[in-house]
Amino acid sequence: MKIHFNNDAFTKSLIVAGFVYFIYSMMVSNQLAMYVNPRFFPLIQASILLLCILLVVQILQIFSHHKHHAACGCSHHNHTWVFIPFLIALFLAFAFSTTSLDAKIVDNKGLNTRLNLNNIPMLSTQSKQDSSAIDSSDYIALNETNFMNVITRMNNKREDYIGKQVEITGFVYREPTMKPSQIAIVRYALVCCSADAAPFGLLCENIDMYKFKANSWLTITGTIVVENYKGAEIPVIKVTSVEPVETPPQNQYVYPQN
Amino acid sequence: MNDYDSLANVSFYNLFSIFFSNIENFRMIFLGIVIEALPFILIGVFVSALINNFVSEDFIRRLLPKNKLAGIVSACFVGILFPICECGIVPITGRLIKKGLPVPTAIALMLAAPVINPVVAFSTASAFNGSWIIAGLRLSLAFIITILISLVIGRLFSNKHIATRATHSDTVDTIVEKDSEEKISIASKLSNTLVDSCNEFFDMGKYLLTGALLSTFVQTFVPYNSISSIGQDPLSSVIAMMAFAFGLSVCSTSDAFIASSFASTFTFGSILSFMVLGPMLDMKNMIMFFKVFSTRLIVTLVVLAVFFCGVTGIVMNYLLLGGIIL
Repeated sequence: MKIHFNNDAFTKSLIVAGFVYFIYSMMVSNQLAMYVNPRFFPLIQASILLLCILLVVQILQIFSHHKHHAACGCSHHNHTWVFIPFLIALFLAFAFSTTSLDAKIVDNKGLNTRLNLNNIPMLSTQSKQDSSAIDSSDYIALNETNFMNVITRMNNKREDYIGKQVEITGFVYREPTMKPSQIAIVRYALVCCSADAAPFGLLCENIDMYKFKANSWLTITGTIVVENYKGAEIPVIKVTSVEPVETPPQNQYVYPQN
Repeated sequence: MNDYDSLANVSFYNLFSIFFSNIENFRMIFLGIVIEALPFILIGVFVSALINNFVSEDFIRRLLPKNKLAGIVSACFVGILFPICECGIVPITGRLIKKGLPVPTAIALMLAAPVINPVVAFSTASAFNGSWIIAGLRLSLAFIITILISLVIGRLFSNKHIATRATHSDTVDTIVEKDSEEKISIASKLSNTLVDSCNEFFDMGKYLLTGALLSTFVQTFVPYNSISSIGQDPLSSVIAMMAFAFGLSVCSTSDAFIASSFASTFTFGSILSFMVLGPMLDMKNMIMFFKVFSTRLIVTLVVLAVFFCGVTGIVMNYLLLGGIIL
């Protein structure tokens, strides 16, 4: 009896193993949140499990002459080109390191090239929910978890926020329509995965804002006023203090809907 | 002042550096789509393999309402019980057609399940700040359009052999079906299910990955603002947003958030067209269609979906409903 070695099943096993290894290593090194919103983590753990099942099945097929294969002759249907998309994916996964979608993509005419500050108020024209906890405090520090919430509400109930102290950390973004005294402090919000990352931020104003370079990370503190920008009333921070952030966080996203 | 200004003088070096500074972003977006789609495609593949081995054609025939329209309408609501996204539904649809589900009913299931489900209703409402009107409008328009498309396809493709693509797995089906249901033990059915899942994972996976590569390319190299200049035109805004939905290929649960960010710059009708067409048709799942359907059916489906979604958006714009609802 000759030993049967199924090349096709062998390649498939390697590919599945590659995917399992990549996703698992992203998970244990806490980098998965840079690809997808953490609310998907249970599903992704489930998919690692399912992939492991596929891996075992696939490895068993390397040496067994399964009747399924004998029946349809799958091996001759699977030409090598079939594996090319998988190999490209694995190459991209392992050849480069994980980064946040930072301001680079704003500069390089990529996704969301133009942060349209006018869009943000529209996102929230008719909010009915209130969160009195945030609305009632006079000092609001925006962080990873409340960022979207606060910005949405600030645009909804602009008047209620006038005069409040706000602290915000993010990267500097400039639109051509901004004055030299204006910058936007922006974070990318990840709704589902890095494909839908959308920039959210607040306009900040002070006479010396021109000296801060685009993409640099700042923590800005100031008081909220309402101003007209590109034909819409939006909340603006009148800056009182600026603190450069030396090392931006490894994970630069904020997550709505958690 | 910053690097952006220097892009004006395009030199070879600049193009080179644009490409390389984008490869990391390309990688992050691409792998984001893949990691997020993976659980759904795996579920789709396993369910499809289970159907293949455990559900008989007889069972489906008995389950189905006698009336054609009733079948289509009930298929529209399957998503309420099984909210499955657009990449998971394609393998299941293909399998059900092979198991004897009529093509129009299967098309209805495939088009409706990714939109008409609680997850999408909730995420749409929350993207538009708790506006259940917009969520309701999106779901009911998707419902109407799905029924229209299914009815037309039912007329044009009465024979399922014209509608589907013959693949090697057909031969597996017939072989499995030749043995009577009783003869195969549960254990071998389960092992067949696992082997089928493996094969289908690679079959569907190559289409999914190719689609993800293409849509990542669009996302990385085609700037959003290239379509924003026509945002207020009642006609071209609808066309632009539909093209955008097609190229973007984001999941139906998250596209509402993207749509809402266009609400101030684009017409209301175009936003609706984006949200109705996106889950039915995008680059990622259209490439997967080629595994299941004949080219003729795919072309018909694309034309019908674009036509109905486009007309809906344009009518909405001329009725100026946006002014009342937004």
